[in-house]
Amino acid sequence: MSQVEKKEKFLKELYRLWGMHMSRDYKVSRRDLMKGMVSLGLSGTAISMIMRKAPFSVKSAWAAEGGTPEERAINAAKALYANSPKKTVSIMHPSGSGGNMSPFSAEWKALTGFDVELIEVPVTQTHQKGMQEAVAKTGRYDLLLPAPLSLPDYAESGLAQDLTAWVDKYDPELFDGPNKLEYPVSDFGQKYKGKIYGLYCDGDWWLLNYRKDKLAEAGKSPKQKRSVVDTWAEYDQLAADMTDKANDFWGALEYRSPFWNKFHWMTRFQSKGVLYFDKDMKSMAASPESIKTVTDLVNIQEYMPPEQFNYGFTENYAQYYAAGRGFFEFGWPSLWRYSHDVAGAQSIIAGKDANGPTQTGISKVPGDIVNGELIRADVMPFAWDFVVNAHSQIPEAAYLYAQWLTGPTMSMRSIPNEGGYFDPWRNNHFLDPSPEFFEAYPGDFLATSYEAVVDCVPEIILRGGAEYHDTLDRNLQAAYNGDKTPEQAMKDTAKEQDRITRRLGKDTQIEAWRALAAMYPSALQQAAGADKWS
Amino acid sequence: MPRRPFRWYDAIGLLAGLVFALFPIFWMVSTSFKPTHEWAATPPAWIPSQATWANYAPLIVDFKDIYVFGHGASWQAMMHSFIVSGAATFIALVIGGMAAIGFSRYQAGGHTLAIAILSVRGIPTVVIAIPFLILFGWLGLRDTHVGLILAYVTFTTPFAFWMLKSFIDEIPAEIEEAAMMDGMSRWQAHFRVTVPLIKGGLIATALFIFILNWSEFLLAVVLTEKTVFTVPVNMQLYGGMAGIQAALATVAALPIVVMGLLIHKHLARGFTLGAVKR
Repeated sequence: MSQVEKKEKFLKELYRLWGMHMSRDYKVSRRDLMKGMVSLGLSGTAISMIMRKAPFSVKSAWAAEGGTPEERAINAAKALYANSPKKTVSIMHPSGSGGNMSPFSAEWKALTGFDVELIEVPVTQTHQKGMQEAVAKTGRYDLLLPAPLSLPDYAESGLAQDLTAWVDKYDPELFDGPNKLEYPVSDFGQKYKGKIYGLYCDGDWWLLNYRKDKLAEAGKSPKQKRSVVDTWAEYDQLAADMTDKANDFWGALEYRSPFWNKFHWMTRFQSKGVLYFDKDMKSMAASPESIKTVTDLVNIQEYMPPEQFNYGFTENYAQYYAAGRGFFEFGWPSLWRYSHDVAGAQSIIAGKDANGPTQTGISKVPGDIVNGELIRADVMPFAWDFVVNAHSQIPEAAYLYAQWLTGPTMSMRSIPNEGGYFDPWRNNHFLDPSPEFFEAYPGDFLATSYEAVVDCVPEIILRGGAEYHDTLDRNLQAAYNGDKTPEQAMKDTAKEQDRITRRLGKDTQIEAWRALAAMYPSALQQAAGADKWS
Repeated sequence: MPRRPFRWYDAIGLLAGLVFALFPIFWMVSTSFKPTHEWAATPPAWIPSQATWANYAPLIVDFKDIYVFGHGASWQAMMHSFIVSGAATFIALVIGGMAAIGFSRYQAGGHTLAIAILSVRGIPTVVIAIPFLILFGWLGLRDTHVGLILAYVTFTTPFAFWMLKSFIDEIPAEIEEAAMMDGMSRWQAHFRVTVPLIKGGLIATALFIFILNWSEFLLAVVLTEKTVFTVPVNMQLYGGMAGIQAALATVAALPIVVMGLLIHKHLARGFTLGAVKR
């Protein structure tokens, strides 16, 4: 039978079936029933294939729709919902951050169909629960919310999903446009070895809070707008000048207790134009700049209250700064929120007017003059990232939730929410805040924070980061307590850090370190010579 | 052999031992009443300058700090611990006791199997924690009381078995045989004759296993998330807040101390039962 004949026969059969269907005497023979069933099955399979397999093209087209990151996330999640093997996005998050997410769960469900389950774990357990999941691979969590310090361990263990392709596809507007994150913060807390593993939901770089009323009383004024002092020497001098021991008023309220110690060293030390490690991952803790830093940190203790050795962030703020007994305090953005929140902070210096808090001023952290240029190294301890679990049943839907909640508009709504502690990070938070947003961060905070972002430096965001931190922290404590000289403390730190590097594999660590060093502010890279490392 | 007279240096030795044993408890209780600035003061504050009950507040109120959150008032964690530790202790005693009778009276399994049962204790908990996590995930027992109870039973039953076996071995089988000649069934002979005779040992074993369960941290932190929260996990939430941790530790120690005091007569008997080899 020729092709033409075959075609004619097929069409004839179709007409016959169609005619039968339209006829009043319509009866279905067994053969016709079989034909119908086969046709139905084939049609269903074809449609299903279009919806499931081919959908890379179809879904992409749908997913790409939307003018904002939030709209693109919603459209894509809606498209995924019908065939999703799991209809709930389960999120493991640190305790205390639920208030930034829970009010929006119903909205996400209404928009996409996906439920949201929030699994709160203690702040101190977020890293461990993630590493547990890396081994167990249960898929219990679709999203995790660790600090950027966890990214290397999560990525190397295969827990964190590489988000680069989805970021390209759905464009959360992280790296360009008016809502982007400013470099270098855009890179070092979200990328590891060049790939994107996390989406920020929190910005946490340090700023220097000071008592502007006391400064005025002393007949002094800030060195320049948004910089009460420019250099560490000026900072040390002003702390000394403002100290009034007889009246229990102290110039500096730095942290001198375990865990909190290291952050002061990180910011002071690196502003001298030296990074944590050299090109070959040799610790720079024993460098002359580091020893000078520790010596200065020990010396300024004269202008700090004796109880400082017991206090972390919370106690430091509550017992001294909020009690009106201290002049300078470095801190996270939440400190600013508390410093004017009369009801929440029970602070005697709380209160605000049209210009923001009445007694607290905000400033960029001091720096040092290196090669004639002022270098500031504003450390960003903590922050929080959304990380997609690579073992999740619904990794793409999980990513889309994260893109939605961290989108420019949604984050503007979620950050000021009570009962959470996320802080601003996107440009629109600083440059175009909503009235509610500005209410939470009044006065000069947002403008100062935006100016400071370009000076940001990371913690030691490498595999074994917590170990590098711990050895530094312990030895600093020994120096602060007078148990070791600054030289000995830093020599021991360098020795222990080099040992950690050798144990974890020097080549891998060097690769990760150079990638991290390439995400430093360019001025600091140049001062340290890191711009010529690769 | 004539008894050596008690001399002054014996008293000093005993006193030193007593101070060594009691100092951690003194430090824990003292710290629990210290104001914040004395928690880790240098030089240390041995006695609080101004004693405060504030550190005990998280026991009854949901503690919320800037970055430290209590996950509900700590009395809830005490309740979770009571449920889990109590149930796990009971089940371990039942299973371990039955096995002990089997091995002691009927030589079931022989000596090798008895040693094999104890070898479960040789497995480090950390090795078994992740397999448990996976298994409980499949069974839907993650973050449930039942899951944690099962995990604890697995680890404490060998102890219960061995301790109870040594106590039962001490009771002559002839007593049970005599009871059976008087008309008791085997079960009645075991439970009406032997078990009352090892009551002290049973109570000592129960307390020992309860303490193991009550203070267990690793399995609890791995296998639970937000629903079940035991005392050790709850205490860990207050990392860096030594006063609160000391207050919770003081309260957590109380049930064990009280139980010990209530049953001290049985304990004295239990700790010596089986001490002499037949």
